[in-house]
Amino acid sequence: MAFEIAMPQLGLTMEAGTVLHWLKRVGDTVRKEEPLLEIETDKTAVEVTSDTEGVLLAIVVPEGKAVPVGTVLGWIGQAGEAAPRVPAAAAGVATPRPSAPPPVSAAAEPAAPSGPTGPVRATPAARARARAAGVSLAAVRGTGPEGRVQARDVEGVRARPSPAGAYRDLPVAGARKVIAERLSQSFHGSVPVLLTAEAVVDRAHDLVGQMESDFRAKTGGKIGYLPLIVKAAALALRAHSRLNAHWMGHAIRLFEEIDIGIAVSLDGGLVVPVLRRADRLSLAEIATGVATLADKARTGTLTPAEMEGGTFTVSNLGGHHIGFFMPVINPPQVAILGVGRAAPRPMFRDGQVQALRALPLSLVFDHRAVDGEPAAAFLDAVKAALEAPYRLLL
Amino acid sequence: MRELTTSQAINEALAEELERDPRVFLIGEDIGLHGGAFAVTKGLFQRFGPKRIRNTPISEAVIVGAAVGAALVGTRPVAELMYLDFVTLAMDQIVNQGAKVKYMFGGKARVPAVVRMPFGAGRANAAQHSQSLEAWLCHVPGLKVVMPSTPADAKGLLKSAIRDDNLVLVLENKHLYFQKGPVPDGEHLVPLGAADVKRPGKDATVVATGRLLSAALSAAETLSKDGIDVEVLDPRTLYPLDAQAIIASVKKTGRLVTVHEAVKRFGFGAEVAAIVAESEAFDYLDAPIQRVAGAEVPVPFSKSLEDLFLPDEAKIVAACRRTLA
Repeated sequence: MAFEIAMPQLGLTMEAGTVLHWLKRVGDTVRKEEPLLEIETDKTAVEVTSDTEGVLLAIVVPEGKAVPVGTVLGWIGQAGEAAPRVPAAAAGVATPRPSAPPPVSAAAEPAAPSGPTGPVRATPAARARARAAGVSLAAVRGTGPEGRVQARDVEGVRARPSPAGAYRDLPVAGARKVIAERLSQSFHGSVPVLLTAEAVVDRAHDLVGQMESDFRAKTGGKIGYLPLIVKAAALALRAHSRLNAHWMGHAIRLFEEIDIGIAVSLDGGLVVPVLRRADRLSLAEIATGVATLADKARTGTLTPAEMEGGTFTVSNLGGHHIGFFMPVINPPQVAILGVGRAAPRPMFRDGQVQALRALPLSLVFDHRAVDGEPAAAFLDAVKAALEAPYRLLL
Repeated sequence: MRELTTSQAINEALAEELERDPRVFLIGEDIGLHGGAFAVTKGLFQRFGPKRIRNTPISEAVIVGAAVGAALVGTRPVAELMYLDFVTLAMDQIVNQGAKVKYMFGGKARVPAVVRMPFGAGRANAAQHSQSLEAWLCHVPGLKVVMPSTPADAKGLLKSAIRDDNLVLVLENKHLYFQKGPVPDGEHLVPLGAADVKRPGKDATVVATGRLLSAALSAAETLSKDGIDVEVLDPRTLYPLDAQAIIASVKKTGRLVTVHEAVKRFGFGAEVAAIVAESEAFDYLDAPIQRVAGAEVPVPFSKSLEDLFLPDEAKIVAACRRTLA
């Protein structure tokens, strides 16, 4: 009896996924819970593990192909067993998911009918040239019929000049590919407008200093400006709900709950885990929540659920010597707050030039969804809360 | 250079060999006063007489059996079957006798005979007079099989076949009999087993036989307007095949299209494809091999259906484009 490997649904909004890499080849032995393949959704790339043990009988959906949730990707069974044949029409609905929306036609191509697929489709001439040149065929994009790699494709790779002599190519795949696609979609598909403001944060600075030792004693962690900024933004979003929204194309969806995405930088790229109900959390809860999510991000243990559903994002570059900057909106959200480094600056207060601690705030909003005045009012509210931080404790 | 039809060129080859070697004689149906169904032996009866131009009853087994027997006792007969389709009636004489004798007698007996056989469709001659059965003959060890595509090659190959000490089957496409082409003056021999590149090119190798050589050359001209440079190779002898010429060409172009009128399955094109796949040319192949061949049906009598059966220039062009996609 053969068991199907189906495209999993990793989140409520996931409609289709792309097979990135098969980690097993046809004929390989598979243990239960062993990684089988890597898939990519519009949010992330994850490994799919085996629900059963046996032998990988067939790969139905080859690498690089996007298919709807539930599509049979391959079969696991006993050695020597024949893989069931899946008719192309049935492949997309082999495992019905009643809650899943109908597949999006753009992302979803029908799965290949059946049968194992070889590793890379390439002509003998392309293989011989790749061997001679030490080029990996997997890294060559085939331009022949059915994506077959031909000699000219290998020549293309070899002919590319190497200006500085040695260089290395980082593959645009997995998380990097997701980031590239989503950010260019955001940047080219929205109307981003930047507003900046400086919050005077001497009092917030004092507050952080006062909380520091208590917080460390209680949690062992560190508290900085970020929990104050997240809380200030969350409270401001309550009053300015037009920014706590998703651009749906046909509608602007305003959310009751305030779920704030926190941009976390990793070696492999950027992830944005979501802190739920941030407006209702204490500063300490925000600090530990952000620390937990950041740890999970660094160890690669974030679940897709922890990365979806954000209604607004905070991007903090305050760890570097950065002032104002222009973050890119995380779609389908309509705004993002960029946080620079707080530093003492000469400012006027009571007719005197004083050294005051200024925190650069950069708000980028999508002018399709929000006009300049409400966006400015929101940024004002954030600034006001940070300058009177007792409000964050109420 | 003077121009002759293939029929005239073969007639000249026969006359020259009859003149040169008294052991040579012709045997077949209606080859005497009538001059043969395709006028190939026209005038030879008058010139060489009934002992050397022998008419036979309507029996292909007799024609080939007599030729093989006569060859065994020291003559060099040139037999003619009116259509290749009728070779079925002479298969025992060819396959079990002519092809085997030399081997079974340890080389002490030889069969220096030639059997000429017109073949091919395109004349609305229906299923029993239109076939291309070369693959059957090429399959049998002990036989040589020749298939000329031009008047000059027809003459030169036939003269070499008559001088060869083995049973050589010469397959002549009916359409070519009345097509003209340049033929050199004087003695003209084309060695058996030597292919000829009829048009050099660098983008794809087309191996075409018989009447379809000219279709392949036209296809190459058509493709050249799109900057596609096709090499057209004429094997001329199907067995022994000049495999090295084909391999060298595919190593140059990386692409192979085989063209013949016989049906595709188990055909000469399959053998060429397999030879290339087994050879060092394999690592030069940059696209799947394409085979252009007759449809897998008995040749239809209806002209419009027969046209569908036959490979033509358009089908060769399409196959070349597929391999260059």
